[in-house]
Parts: sequence; structure tokens; C-alpha cells
Amino acid sequence: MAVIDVNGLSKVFRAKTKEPGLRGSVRALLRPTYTELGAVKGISFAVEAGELLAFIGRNGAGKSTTIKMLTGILNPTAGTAQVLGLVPWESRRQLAYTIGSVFGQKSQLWYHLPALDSFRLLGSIYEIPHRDLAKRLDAVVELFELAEFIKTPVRKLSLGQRMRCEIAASILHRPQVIFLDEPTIGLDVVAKLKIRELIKRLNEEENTTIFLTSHDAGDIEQLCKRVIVINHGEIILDTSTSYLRHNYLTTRIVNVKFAEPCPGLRLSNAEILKHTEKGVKFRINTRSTSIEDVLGELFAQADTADISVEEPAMEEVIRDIYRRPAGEGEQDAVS
Amino acid sequence: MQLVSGGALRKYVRIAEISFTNRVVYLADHFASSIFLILILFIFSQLWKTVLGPSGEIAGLDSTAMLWYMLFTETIALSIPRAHYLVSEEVKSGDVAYKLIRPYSYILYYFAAYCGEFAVRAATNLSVGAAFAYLTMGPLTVNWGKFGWVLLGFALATSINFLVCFCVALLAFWLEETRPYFWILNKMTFIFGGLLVPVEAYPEGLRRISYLLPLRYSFSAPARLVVDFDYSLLWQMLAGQLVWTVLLAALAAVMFRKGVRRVHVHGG
Ligand SMILES: Nc1ncnc2c1ncn2[C@@H]1O[C@H](COP(=O)(O)OP(=O)(O)OP(=O)(O)O)[C@@H](O)[C@H]1O
Ligand SMILES: [Mg+2]
Repeated sequence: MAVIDVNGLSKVFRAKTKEPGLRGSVRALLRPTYTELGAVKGISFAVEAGELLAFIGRNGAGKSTTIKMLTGILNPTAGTAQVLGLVPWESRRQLAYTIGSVFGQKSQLWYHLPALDSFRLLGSIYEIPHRDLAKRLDAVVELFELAEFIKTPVRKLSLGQRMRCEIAASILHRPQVIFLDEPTIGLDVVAKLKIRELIKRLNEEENTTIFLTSHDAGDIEQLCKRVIVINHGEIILDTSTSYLRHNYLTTRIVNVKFAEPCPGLRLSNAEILKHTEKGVKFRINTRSTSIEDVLGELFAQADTADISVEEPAMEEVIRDIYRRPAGEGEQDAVS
Repeated sequence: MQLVSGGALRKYVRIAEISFTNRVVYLADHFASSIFLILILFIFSQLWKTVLGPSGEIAGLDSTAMLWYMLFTETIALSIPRAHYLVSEEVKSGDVAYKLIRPYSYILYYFAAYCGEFAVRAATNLSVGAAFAYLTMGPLTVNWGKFGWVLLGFALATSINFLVCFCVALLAFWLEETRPYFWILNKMTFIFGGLLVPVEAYPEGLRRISYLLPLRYSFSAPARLVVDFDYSLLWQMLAGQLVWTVLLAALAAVMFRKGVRRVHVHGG
């Protein structure tokens, strides 16, 4: 059975509109008008136990809104969802015992106290028996390498250390599913790597299902096996990360070093980016052209010393997906 | 609000504990704020000595009892935690919805935190204030045999004060700014809570009003019981406290449920 099951989930926000100036204020007070904003528009997907999934999209795409509905913070406007067999917005507190959540800017640690105190408190809040908690704390401290600063007041921790503590705090009660809203936001490269590593270990060692949002292509590339792309509240792609990498962005950059200069080089289906005495760099689209054809054409004209084909970076892949108009990606979507 | 099972009670005790510890960090600040208490106690010790002399009384209290009375009302007033500003902020920003996905009752969470913080503040204010009152006016004769009743009165007073502040804080669901209402509450407490003089000494009209409000039962009555124990006041106080606790708890629960529904629909 799927641990997360979402069907036609939608959220429409209604915001009061106000024209500028005093007159606008008075009018808004007397006769309020509303604009409706569809933040999430009938999305459906299912997540199996043990999956590590990235939920990505541009600013305002509806990622946080979706996570809020799945954790019970927001009621949806339409559609259904079940997390571990419970409807999140109907059984918030019951669900709380089996899921964990981290929202980038909202801390669940006591600011002036060492993280350890917060952990102990959370142990009581989640009703973890005393002896279990001690064991669990040891394991989590080791897994997340917190020993060094667990007794330092949270306000004195670096952002990266704090985020490690936040995630640790959210898994003390051994949740089966954990929702992470932008866990690596604002972190430096090293801290990001650290967070990724422990999310991965959490997934592998405890088989925790992980649902994370991110803007960082690295999170997706290094961490997630599956990626769902949401744009303007609609899912435009739901596929595996490797499929995405190999099949989605279909341009390749080819770098060629000449053995001898080849000034008259002509390639019929490639876009030449740079052409010098020493070599040539060109872009081809593998959807319309095969690399072999282009290379054949090249070999017929030039004497080559070295050839390399660059795969596009995940970042570019994602940028490309966002650029497409809504709906176009769906033909490519395979789960 | 939901009922709490015995096993689940432990978490609220721990919340009170951690809130207590969290406050001990600021112990020095609390002692500093006790200076204000000393200042007003000093002014009124002079005032009561002059106005009442050695044998004068107000509502049956001589100058020494009057000063000790004020020590207790002011200790309650000055020890009220500032946590309700936090509740206001959380309500306004919608962060309250994030707390609702944790396995505790929001109201009880803040009540527990309130009690922990109140304990630290009250302990510092009371110790500093009592030392001062002792030195300037002499000892207070306490009826220790009845002290259990007095403590019960203080406990219920604390719940009432919490609920009053919590309800005002919850106004943030509907209003942009709650500070003016806290200001009004503050002024009303000063008068109808009888912070300076027991409300029994008030003119008829004012006294009537104060009897109808919860503040008399959470400031004046328990303070008066310490300095001048009296069974008829005790029963009156307990009855008033119980009624107000139930009413305010119901009000808080209704306001909270209505307000939270908006947050769940409209988001933060
Ligand atoms: N409480 C709210 N009231 C009105 N509109 C809202 C509310 N919360 C979000 N929105 C709108 O809904 C849309 C989706 O917001 P959401 O926070 O889900 O985006 P996101 O994908 O998480 O973006 P980001 O990457 O910036 O975090 C946005 O247009 C946002 O302005
Ligand atoms: Mg977001």
C-alpha cells in the first residue's frame, strides 16, 4: 500500500483585494472583493514506503502548499489525500505520531536552550518511553554527528548545525514518513553535502520515506531516485531521476580537438558554438539528430585528436523543464 | 480542546519544567525587574504609614497588612509571563497551524509554559518583595493552618489570569493588533483587580463592577486571604474562581476553534 496517496488535491486561496490609497482602503472595508488564486490544481500521485522523492518547482509553484496539506496544516479546497492511511487534515494529532516534518524557517527547537533539552522535551511530547528515548538519542546523535554541539544553546549554532538538529528533532519518534520543506536552503556547500548524506542514511538505514522540496539541483541529483515537478500548481513531470538525466534534456555539447586545423568545417545538424584552429565546440539535439550521424560528418571533414560529449547538468535539465509551457512535459512523463 | 489522559499529562509537566529552566537563564533580569516592585512598595510603605498611622485601617487592614497585601497583588501582576504576545504573533502569522500538527493541545501547551515561567518570576518577585516588606514594615502574621486554601486560591488565580491573557491574545485571529487590548486589560486589572487597595474598600459602584469581573478573584481576593484569612471571603473567592475558570476556558476553546478553522482554510 502507498504511504502517501494523493488524488485531485487542490487548494484555492482567496485573498482580499485592495486598491491603493485611502479610497481603496475604505472600499475594501465596506465592500470587500476577493481574488482567487489556485495554488495547487488537482494533483495526483502516490508514494511507496521507502521512497526518497524530490518535489520541485519554481517559487510559488505550490510545493509548500502541498506539503502543508499533506501534514494537516492546511485544509484543501478539493480532492483527497491519505498519509499512512489517515486523512491529514482530519487526524492531525494522530498522524503526528507517525510522520515528521521540517519547515525551513519554522524551528521546533527552544532557541535559548541546548538542543538536547529540546530533544528530551520532544521525547515526552511524543510519549517515547524513557529508556527508548535514551537509546534513540544516542543513535540519532551518532547518525547526525551532533555530539560536539548538542549542549550548546541553539541560538549559538550555525545554520547548518541547526538544520541537523531540526531534522534530528523531527525523527526522534521514528516517523515512517518525513516531509522536508527546503532542508538545504541557505546552507553552504559543505553543510549541504552533510545534510544530503544524512537524509540518505536516514532513508537507507531506517527505511524512512522522504518527501522533500528543494530548489537545489544537487539535492535532486545526489539524493533522490524520483522527482515530481510542479509548475503553477500542476504536476508537469513525475519520473525517475535517472530517466530525467538521460532522456529529458536532449541537447549534448560536443568538444572536438583537431589534429590539424579544419577551417572549412560544415555540420548540417549541429549548432557550432566555437570554432578555432585547435578545435570546435558544437551543440546537437539528440531528439532530431543522432550523435553518430554528426560525428560521421565530422570525421569525413576533419582529422580529430580528441572528442568529448558533455551531458547537461541537472540544473540545466530543470531549467529546461521550467521553461516549457505547462502540459508539454506530460508526454514525456513516465513513472 | 480535548481531554488529557494520565499518561499524556507528563508531557505538560515537562513543558512547564523546560519553560521554568528557560526562564532561569534570565534570572538576573528578573531580579532587576523586581527593583520596580521595591520602588512601589517603598512609596506605599511611606504613604500608608503617613495616612493610616499606627492604628488606622482600610477595609480592616492596618498599614503593615496593606503593604503585604500589595506585595501579593503586585507579585501576581508583575509575574504574568509575556508569552501571550507570542501567542498573538503566532496567531497573526498563522504559525499556530504548525503547532497543531504536534501531538499536544495548543492551549495546554501554553498553560504549562505559562505556569513554568510564572513560577520563576513569582519566586524572584516574592523573595525580593518580602525581604523589603519585612525590613520596612515588619513581619506578616500568616495563618499557616489555612495556607493550603490560600495556595489553592493562588493556583486558580493563575489559571484565570492565563485564560484572560490567552483570550485577549486570540483576538489576533480577527484583529490586526492586540496590544491596545492588553493595555486596556492592564488598566482594568489595576482598578478592578484591586492592586493597591482591596476592592472591599471601593465605593459601592466600583465594588459592584469588580465583583462581576474575574480580576477581583485573581488578584485582590487571594492576596487578601494571605494577610487576613476569612472563611466567607474564601468561599466567595473559590466560587468566583471556579465559575470564571470554567467560563473563560469555554470561551478560549470556542475562540480557538473558530479562529483555527480560518487558519486551516486561509493559510498563514
Ligand atoms: N496563505 C496564503 N494566502 C494566499 N495565497 C497564498 C498563501 N500561501 C501561498 N499562497 C500562494 O500560493 C502559491 C503557492 O505558494 P507555495 O508557498 O506553495 O509555493 P512554493 O512552491 O512553496 O514556493 P517557494 O519555492 O517560493 O517556497 C503562491 O502563488 C503563493 O503566493
Ligand atoms: Mg515553499
